[in-house]
Amino acid sequence: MNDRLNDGGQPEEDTRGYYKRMQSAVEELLILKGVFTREDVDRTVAEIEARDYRRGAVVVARAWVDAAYRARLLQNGRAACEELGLKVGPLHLIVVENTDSVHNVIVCTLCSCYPRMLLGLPPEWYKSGEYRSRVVREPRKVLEEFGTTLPVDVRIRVHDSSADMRYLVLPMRPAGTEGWSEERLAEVVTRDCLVGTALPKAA
Amino acid sequence: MIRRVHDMGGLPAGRVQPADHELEPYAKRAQAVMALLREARRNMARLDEMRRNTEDLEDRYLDISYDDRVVHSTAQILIQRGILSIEELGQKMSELSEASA
Repeated sequence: MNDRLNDGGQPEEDTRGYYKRMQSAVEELLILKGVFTREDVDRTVAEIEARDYRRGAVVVARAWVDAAYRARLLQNGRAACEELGLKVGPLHLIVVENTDSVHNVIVCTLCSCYPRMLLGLPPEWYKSGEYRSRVVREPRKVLEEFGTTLPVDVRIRVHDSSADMRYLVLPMRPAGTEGWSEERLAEVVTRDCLVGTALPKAA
Repeated sequence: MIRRVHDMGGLPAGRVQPADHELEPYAKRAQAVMALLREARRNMARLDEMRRNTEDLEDRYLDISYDDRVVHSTAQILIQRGILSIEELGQKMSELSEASA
């Protein structure tokens, strides 16, 4: 293709510098052309930084205390999140529930699709070739690498996300949390619990 | 069917390194620029274009980070749509290079 930049042949140690420079150049040119302002970019960075897995934790805590909400969440993830004021956007959100016999894990083997609206930016390992390649073939082993060992009779289901279909894991409420408030319950739900590589623990 | 480089599900690979680190500022800005371009009122980029441009990196796909793939795809989309030219992007990058030298 003749519309491709000649970005081949960069010395390896210079690659990061090259893309950093490309990012600055693209941003500056778009500002000069009036596509957006510097402030728009700053504000969007701040919004990205403000979104993290605690949004997903709030959804899980509500599902743990409210069975009717849990049913709605499993039926239509987007609508149930929007009930809590969490905007999901124009995509399907499928909430997959862990039980005594099934454990769920999410991945995006083809790129790195992730329920960003509920979890924020994906961690480095979620985007890595190692996770994307292996979690669909040997999930039990990969979970062990995260320090999560599941009983052998628990089936592991791996869900491969796509650009317009995202998953969120609904973990099991841990023992020892009887009578806890929703706020306190949300605190035991970590990012990795929502991806399925960890289990919530009553601290 | 030829398996392209991004289609890695099920392939052998090394141990997952669960460590994580905060993104560099330029990587966050790259995400922000992409988000702004995708907003309906601008409609200057779509997710499928980003994926296609990323996948077209072919052998270079594995050599660069996810963040750099986002930067690469953003520039490609803008060039393909005629919003930026290769020349002005190259010129701006040279200026930045000289400024930091």
